Amino acid sequence: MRPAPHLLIVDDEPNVLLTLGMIFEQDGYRVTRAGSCAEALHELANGHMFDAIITDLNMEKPDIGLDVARAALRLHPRPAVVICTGYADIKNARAALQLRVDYFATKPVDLDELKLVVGRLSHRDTRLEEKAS
Amino acid sequence: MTRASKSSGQIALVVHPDLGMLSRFQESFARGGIITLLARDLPTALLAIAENEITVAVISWRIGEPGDGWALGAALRRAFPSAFVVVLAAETSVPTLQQAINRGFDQLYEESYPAEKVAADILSRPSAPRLVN
Repeated sequence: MRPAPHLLIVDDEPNVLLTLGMIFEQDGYRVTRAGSCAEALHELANGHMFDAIITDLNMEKPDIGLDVARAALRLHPRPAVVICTGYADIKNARAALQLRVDYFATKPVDLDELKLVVGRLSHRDTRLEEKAS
Repeated sequence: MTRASKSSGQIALVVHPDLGMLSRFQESFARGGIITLLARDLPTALLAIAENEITVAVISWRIGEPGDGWALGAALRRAFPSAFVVVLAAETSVPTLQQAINRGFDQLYEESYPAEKVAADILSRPSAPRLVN
């Protein structure tokens, strides 16, 4: 049996972190939480494997969530990266596109849509897809 | 659907309602040694996707009607996870960039941007892995 997909959720708002984590845990995911970009980068640098990462953009400073995305997208196998932000602008959205982020959601996030997207992205075999590219 | 140019192993699909634009892309890609398939409507584009291994695609956001290019791009992304897929959008805005990311496009250009420059950017792009949305 395939193990539960492992998610890293990154948000500096404790309530968001707690709620999102609970929602995905109830759906059978293994969830690791990070309350800042620095914490998330630490998790990524420690060799933990994640199937998907959901990150806020504005934490220690504006758009710093892009650093989380950048670090995640360098990993092999590459996790899916979803950005959730209440402060979308042309600059950060264009940066996300250039980085090849997999999904860009604006807050308030539609939870059903987020669950659907994360489910679709985290259940695929990323290693095969990287090999194909 | 028309074929053009000699092969470098890459096949580009350009989908645009305007014949002049198709011709400009065809010439630019031909100079880069890329086989170019042209389509002015959805059925022709879908046939090209079904019968060829597309490595590059340039898709207008509006083919038969406004917005249908977004859906075509998403379908193409699913069929060819490692293709480089570009959308020509009406404008650069948060919603259009968000659509581009969420539908699996790699790059967005405004439709007024010269075809020759879009083609040149594509021909000089670095390759990077992407997941399928």
